[in-house]
Amino acid sequence: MAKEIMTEEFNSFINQDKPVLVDFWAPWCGPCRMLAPVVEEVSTQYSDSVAVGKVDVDKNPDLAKQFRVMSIPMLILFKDGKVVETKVGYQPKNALEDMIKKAL
Amino acid sequence: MANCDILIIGSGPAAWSCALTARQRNLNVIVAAASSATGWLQRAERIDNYPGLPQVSGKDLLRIFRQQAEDMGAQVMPLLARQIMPVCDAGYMTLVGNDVVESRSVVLAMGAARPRLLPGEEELLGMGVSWCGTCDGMFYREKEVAVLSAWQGGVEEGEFLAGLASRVDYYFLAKHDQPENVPYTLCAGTPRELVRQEDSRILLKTDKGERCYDGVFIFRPAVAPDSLLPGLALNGAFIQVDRRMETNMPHVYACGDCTGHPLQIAKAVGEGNIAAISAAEDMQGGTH
Repeated sequence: MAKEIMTEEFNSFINQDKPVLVDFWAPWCGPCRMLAPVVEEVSTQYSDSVAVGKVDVDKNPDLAKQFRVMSIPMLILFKDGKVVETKVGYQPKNALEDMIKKAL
Repeated sequence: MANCDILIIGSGPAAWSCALTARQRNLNVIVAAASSATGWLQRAERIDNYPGLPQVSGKDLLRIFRQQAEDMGAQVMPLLARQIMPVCDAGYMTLVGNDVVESRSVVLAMGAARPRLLPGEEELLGMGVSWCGTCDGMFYREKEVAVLSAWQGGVEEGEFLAGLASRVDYYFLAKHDQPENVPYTLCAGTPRELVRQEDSRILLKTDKGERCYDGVFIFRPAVAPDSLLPGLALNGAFIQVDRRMETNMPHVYACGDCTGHPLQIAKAVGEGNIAAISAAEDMQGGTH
């Protein structure tokens, strides 16, 4: 399961030993609803090698601002707490897998 | 999330014909019919080569087609289909407007018009350029945005954005009507190019001058078939199909002008009929 992340815990969440994939989304966004099951699938399948989190931009506007989220859904992949790749808009499963594999 | 057997994308003769036959086969049908107001058929004053309806106008013909399909039970969503994605065992999910439609089959019948993107547009998507006001509008609260629209759909989006942004300038990519007293500024000048500035704002160049915006929202009545459904095989500008109107993707069919010449109503109607029959057969015989 992708973990719902709030602003207070964000820094510790992205600073893990394994890469971290974060999905910036909002409940009213259609493309986000399409991406959600793909993110869930990847999170289950790759649970050993990557941590997956979700940030609701309505509840966490400061995080959206900090990462210059101007369009959702936006996926950001972190390694050692640093941004390594960003993707905007709906992505198929293999695009997410490519992102993860590059970071491993 | 809406559910159906066949999602038909389009609002022309092929789409309505496909909807009719699919309903006759008792399939659940949703038609994502963004707009026929911009199509050439809508503007055709007199059609002489469509059998059975001599000298009918394009507008009347489309109205009759649609009415017949609706009377037969086809559900119409007057919204633009923006993205289709395969779901492993359940068919396809399609983003229609801001709603998600789940279907076992998809029929592409969106006509031959292909959107021409502005220089800079694709590269800047998600970085100040957006195709979805509802999705991204909130990131531009109290900021200055431009709406570039090629169709009526831009009006509603412009009104929505005007409730959030401090300034909304509306530019025309193609001529369309505007209601009175809109909450945005109508601008002269045809958009030509988008350039990202060092401060992350977007410079909009038009044939009459240029201006910087925090965000640029672009609305068109059509999405190119291969960006609508990545992996879809094309034949030049048209969608590749076989005699069953089947594309290279399983349970995806195409019919009408989007499959190529001749761009004729009778051909489109015939192909729509075949696409519906093929989809029905494959659903009954296949794993979906």
